[in-house]
Amino acid sequence: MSIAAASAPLLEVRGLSRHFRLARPWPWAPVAEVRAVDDVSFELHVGETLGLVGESGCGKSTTGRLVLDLLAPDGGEVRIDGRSIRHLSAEEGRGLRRKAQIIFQDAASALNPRLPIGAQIREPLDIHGVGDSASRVAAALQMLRAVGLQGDMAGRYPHELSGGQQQRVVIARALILQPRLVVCDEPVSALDVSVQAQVVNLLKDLQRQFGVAYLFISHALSVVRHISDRVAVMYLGQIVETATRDDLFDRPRHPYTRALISAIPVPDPRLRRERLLLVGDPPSAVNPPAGCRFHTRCPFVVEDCKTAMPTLRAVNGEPTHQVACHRVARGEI
Amino acid sequence: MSAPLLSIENLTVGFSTERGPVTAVRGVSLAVDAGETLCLVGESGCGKSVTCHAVLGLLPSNGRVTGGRILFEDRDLAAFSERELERLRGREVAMIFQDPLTALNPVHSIGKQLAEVLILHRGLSWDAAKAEVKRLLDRVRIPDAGRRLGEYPHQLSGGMNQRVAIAMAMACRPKLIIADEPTTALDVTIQAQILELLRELQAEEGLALMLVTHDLGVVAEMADRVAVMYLGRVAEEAAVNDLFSAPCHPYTRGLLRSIPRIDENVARLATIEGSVPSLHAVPAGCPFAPRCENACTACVEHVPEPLVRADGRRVACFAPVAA
Ligand SMILES: Nc1ncnc2c1ncn2[C@@H]1O[C@H](COP(=O)(O)OP(=O)(O)OP(=O)(O)O)[C@@H](O)[C@H]1O
Ligand SMILES: [Mg+2]
Repeated sequence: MSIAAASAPLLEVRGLSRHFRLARPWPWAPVAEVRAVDDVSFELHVGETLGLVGESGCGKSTTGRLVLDLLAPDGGEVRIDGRSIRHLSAEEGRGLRRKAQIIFQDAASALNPRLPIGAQIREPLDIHGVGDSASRVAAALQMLRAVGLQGDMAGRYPHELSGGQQQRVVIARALILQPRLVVCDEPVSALDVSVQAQVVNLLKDLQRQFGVAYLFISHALSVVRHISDRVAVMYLGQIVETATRDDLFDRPRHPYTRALISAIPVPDPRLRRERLLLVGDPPSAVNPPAGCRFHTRCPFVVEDCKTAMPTLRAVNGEPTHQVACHRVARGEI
Repeated sequence: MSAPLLSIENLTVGFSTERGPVTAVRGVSLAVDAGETLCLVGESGCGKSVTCHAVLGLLPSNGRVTGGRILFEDRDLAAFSERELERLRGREVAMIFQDPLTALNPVHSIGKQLAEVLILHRGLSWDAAKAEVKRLLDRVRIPDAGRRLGEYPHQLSGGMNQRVAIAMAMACRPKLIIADEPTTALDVTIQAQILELLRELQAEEGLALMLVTHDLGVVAEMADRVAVMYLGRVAEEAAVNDLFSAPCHPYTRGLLRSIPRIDENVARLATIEGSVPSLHAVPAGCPFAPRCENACTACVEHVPEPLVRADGRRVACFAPVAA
């Protein structure tokens, strides 16, 4: 990663925020606002994978959609190749869509049930008017093979494919324009384990082949460990820890990260572990707790956690390893 | 040796579908002893849920047990009337589902529905039931139980509702709980709490647990014994340590190899090629043969019967993994 880190980042996210107003249950009810994403910053380099993890409702998917301008932010900025992605001309918008793509969990609903898969993989080339018709057909066929499907499957319809094969088609279509960034939102979560491994391997192979960078959003931490170079952990709309893959999984510092990792069951019965069990449910992102948002569940909470919001600070003498926790910053835990 | 609490012998379950009849479970035999945890694991569609539903007489109207027997404490469930089955489900065997809301009534407060179960099935008086509800909610670690009694399922989180569903299951002091993916819909930190709770209840009440999951991590953490299912059959059944340290069936080995782990890096995940065939196109021989590295001619032509080996495992395979 050293070469990549030295160059300018492909994706720069600064102070990104997005709040949602909830419909009022009755007219005189107070306005409730969900802070889905609150002051989130990170970078992604060319050809790199950043894993974005956290539990349901923590703001991972909203972040992914903000990054691709599928949703407008309330604050902050997203830059791709040094250029802001907001307020683009039509021409620039097309350029952005060629550069950046997204893959969702539910492959079946991402595909058009009435179009053969070969044509669906080719479609982005048609839309962007890339090459002539013969070269598009050839490129689609080549991409079909690159994702591990037989060329003679081009004429099949999505319902004739298994879930794993459908996700391969979605990946092929996302990569056909040779984007530099793909946001993968839970791309393997709906797949069975044996098929999940195939798709994870495929994503890694394609990254090597095309040099694409992934923002890999997932609640499945073991998959994230396997695919990521760096990882960011979100809790209630904020990043609480970010580090290289090995630092994060082998030397986690934030109490939430530690609890999250220790909660993952390890497939080895000899390792039934003592774990850091959290009490209670995550609080709602509507009116989140003051101070550190994790303080209501944190086993290490002290008085100032309840009032002052911690910011990300480097730990372990590693500028790449950052943690938002007062007690970690003071070296107390 | 006493008979197992639950014994499933050669169970076969068929469904009629628009595309013709299918056999979702084919000759499954399993036993659960009092106080033990048997995990059923396998990929989507392998028949885990159908097996559980058959035990409880909860198959949908297009499904039917077409072969085999289910014995609970040596009583053949086929001979049970609908009322006796109802009693069995109310008293001796309880079920927990992936979605706790399937077991809960949206229009009654959680206190009320728990009390009703206690009055109906355990014959408690209203006052005794009220006290028992409070005790049960405390038991499943619902904080501030006294205040929660009046709340409705939609006011509670998924994790809290699953606790209520567990309280509901415990209400009748069952001997066996069948739990079908009870934590799959929950976040991992909540999953950890619920698994801990199940383990605790089981140890203290001496319950038997039949736990369905597709997560081998959950299996490793919870199981005494494990049955790995594939396309309606049991591929391998073994004590949990044996299964993980030396899988015998190539499918078990493939599954174990293909999961990434939270505690180590691997350069590349091993995979099982292909995907699970549809029930409408079940292979003639061993159902796993088309995807199996070890497959030989016999595997393609004949279905391997599950054989009990010297170490107590049961493996249905002509070409098992060499020890
Ligand atoms: N009502 C039904 N009608 C027709 N087929 C059914 C019905 N219920 C289940 N099946 C089929 O029976 C097979 C086994 O289903 P089952 O629900 O037991 O799988 P499972 O192992 O529990 O999978 P999952 O991990 O997805 O829950 C599947 O192929 C399914 O499509
Ligand atoms: Mg099921």
